[in-house]
Parts: sequence; C-alpha cells; structure tokens
Amino acid sequence: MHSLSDVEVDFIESDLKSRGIVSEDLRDNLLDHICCIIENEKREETDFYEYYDRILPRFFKKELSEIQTETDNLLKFKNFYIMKKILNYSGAATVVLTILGALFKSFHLPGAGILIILGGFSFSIIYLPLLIILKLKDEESKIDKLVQSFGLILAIFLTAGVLFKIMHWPYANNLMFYSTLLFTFIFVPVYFITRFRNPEKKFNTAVNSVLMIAVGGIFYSMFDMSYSKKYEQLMVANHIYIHENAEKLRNSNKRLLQNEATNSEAQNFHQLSQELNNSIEEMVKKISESNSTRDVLQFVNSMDEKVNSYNIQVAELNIQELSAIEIKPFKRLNEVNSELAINVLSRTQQQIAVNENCYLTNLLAQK
Amino acid sequence: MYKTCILKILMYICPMYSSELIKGTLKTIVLNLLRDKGRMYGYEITAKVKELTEGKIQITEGALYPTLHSLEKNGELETEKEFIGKRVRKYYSLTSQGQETASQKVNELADFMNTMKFLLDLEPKLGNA
Repeated sequence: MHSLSDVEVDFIESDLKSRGIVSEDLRDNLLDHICCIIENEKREETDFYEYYDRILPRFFKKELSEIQTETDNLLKFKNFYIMKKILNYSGAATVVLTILGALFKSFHLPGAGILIILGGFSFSIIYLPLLIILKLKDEESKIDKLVQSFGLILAIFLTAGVLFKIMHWPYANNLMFYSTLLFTFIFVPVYFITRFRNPEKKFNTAVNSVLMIAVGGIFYSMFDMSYSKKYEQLMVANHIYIHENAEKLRNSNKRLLQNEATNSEAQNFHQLSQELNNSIEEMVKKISESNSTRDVLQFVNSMDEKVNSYNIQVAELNIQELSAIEIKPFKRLNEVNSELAINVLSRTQQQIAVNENCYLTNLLAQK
Repeated sequence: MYKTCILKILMYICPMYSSELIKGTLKTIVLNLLRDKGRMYGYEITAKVKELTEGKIQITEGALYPTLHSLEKNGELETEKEFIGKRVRKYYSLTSQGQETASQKVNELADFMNTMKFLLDLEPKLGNA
C-alpha cells in the first residue's frame, strides 16, 4: 500500500484546483477519493505521477471541470424549481388581482385601488424580473437572451408607469412615455432583426413583431391625445362667450364713466382696471399665438404690482359687491393647457369689468 | 433487504448497465446504501457498490459527487469531516428527511421494476397465458 506524502497530497490538490474544481467542498471530496484509489489500488512499484495521470480520466469525459459544472447545475436546480413555482404563483396572483381590481373599479366597490396596485406590483416586481432570470438560464443564444431581457425590463418600466399613473405618483408620464417609445421603436425592430433570419423562428417572430408593434403603437398614440377636439372647441366657445360679455360690460362702463368726468377716484379706478385688463389681454394673445402656456410665467411675475395696487384700490372703495383679483391661480397657469389658461384669464377680465360696473352703478345710485 | 433485492433484479434485467440506467437510480442506490451502513465517504460508496454487484455497477465519480452535494443541499444528507493527515474526509449520513426519502425512492424503484418486468414481458403474470 502506497502511503501518500504531504507533497503528493498538495500536488493533487493544486492540480484539481487548476483543472477547474473551484469549490472547496468538492475538492476535498475528490482529493480524498483520489488518495483512496492510490492507497488501495496502486502497486508499490508504479510511479505516483504516472499512476495519477492514468486514473484521473476516470472522473470525466472531456475535462475535470465537468464535475464542478454538474454539481453547480444540480445545486442551482433547487432554486430554479422554487423560482418557477414563485413565477407561477405570482402570475396567477397578477391575473386574479387585476381582474378583481377591474371589476371592483367598474362597480365602484371599495378596495379596487389596492387590488390593482397589488396586481401591478406582483407583475412588475415579482413576475417580470423572475421571468428575466429564468430566461437567462434558457439554452438560447446570448443575443436572444439579451434582447428578451431588454424587452422585459421595458415591460417592467411600462407597468410601473401605468401603476404610478393610477396612483398619481410623480414621473408616471415619463416612465410610460419613454418605455413605450423604446419598446416600439427600438426593441421590436431589434427583436425582429435578430430573430428573423432563423428559419425556425421566422413565422413566430413576424407574428410577435406585428402584435407588439400594434400594441406599442396604440399605446404610443394615446400619449398625444391629451384631450379631445370636442373639449377644445367647448373651451374656445366658453372663452368667446365670457369675452363678449366682458366687452359689453366695458362698453357700458365707458358710458357710465362719462358722467364722472370730474371724479378723480373714478378716473383712477378706471385707469387701473384698464391697465390690468390690457396686461391680461396681452397674455391671452401670447398664449393663443404660441398655443402653449410655457412662457406665461414671465408675464405673471411682472403683473404682481398691478394686481396689488388694483386690490388696494378695491379695498379702499369698500363696496360690498367688489371682489379682489387673486394672483395665485395665475402662478400655476404654466401647468395647465392653453385653453384652460385662457379661460382662467378671461374670467379675471370679466371680474375686472364687473367690479368697475358695480362701482359706477353704485355712484349713479348715490346721486 | 431491499438493496440486494433491487440489485439482483437489476442484474437479472441486464448484466451490462448503460450510464443512463445508473444515472436514474443513483440517488436511490446512494440513499439506500447509507441507510444500511450509517455513514460512508465517497470512495467507500463506489467501492461498496462495486463489491456488492461484483463489478456490474460501477458508479462514476463524475456522477456521484454532484449527486452527493445536491442531496446534502436538499437536506437529505448531513456530513461529518475527519482529518486524515493533510486531507479532509467527508462522511455522509442520512438525515431524518433522508431516511424518509430513501424509503420512498426504494419503493418507487421496486414498483417501477415490477411494472417494467410486466411491460417488457420478462415475467408474464396477470394471467394472460
């Protein structure tokens, strides 16, 4: 029986390591096994190194690292199994929660929001990420894995965006917009190009691409429909109505003012009203020209002083029917669409005209 | 004794066993052997199987160690380490879960073999003479 020296044991261990047996546990096992073989089966006269080279091929078909790979695969398999189970459960949960949520929502039952959120979470945070991990383990080409993972990540963002939108959380629009954009115009073409040449996948790839483009395209086109044309026309009609009435009041005010040609208070109030009205008119003009409220705040900031002195005058006049002009809604005009902004402005113009009319009528009544 | 019974039947079916056959029964063989012997290390397992089957079943190391590690991870086996000079020897033994799995696996295989015998018409029963 050959008794192994420390040098020989060290030699075997480092050789195992260099041949790809990286986990210590497995290396210990193999080392002991090889030592046992040598101790029990080697003839005394055979050279240790020669014998070692002869018995090592027992352990593999092509190379020793197969044992390590096989062990890793078997160890991973357990997690793999659990992950697949979780995937199935979270998928089922997503379906049930979403359908229930939608039902509750349409019947206005309490708890609809919670159901939809839970459904969205289990889909975007559990189901899709697991799907990516499981896909990565599939025996597909690297490019396929990469492309599919990219698509699934976009899907996670899109779902999160929808969820954020429902919950009125910030950045919902950005999430939805960019993930749809990337999905439709980058992912789908890449998916198509990378798979179309494979004759086995050709048909499926074409069908899937058409479906994805259709869904993505529909989703994408929804972002441009901030509101309907009908709504827009209604807002314009409303604005014209208010504007015309205010104009009638202003004309009536002019006639009433002729009676107060010597009243400096009346002249002063008229002056203030006119200045404020003109500034607002200018803003309306700007907004309707550019059809956007983006630059409206720079006008609003310059109006502070005018509104202030107007409000002081209103307070001094001390007439019950007069209302002060509030500048607060103006400060948020850039957040709303142009039709709504013009409506807010024309309502203020109407208020100015009503104030002046009430004041002048009051003067007339006193005479 | 299940083990000898199984091995005899296996030998009866086919005196030369392909690696596919052994792969499917390896877990059962290992678990059952450990149930009989208490604790064993890797080399001992291969040597014992070889001895019991008179060399007809030779477990390859490439299949044995991955299986041992996965059984350990799944909680079927527990290990004890012993130092032999510079090297470590790992003794494997069954956990209580492993005992249960061993019985299940052996019953399953015995049942499977009966079915196979019937299916392959090796031992016609069921009165179809």
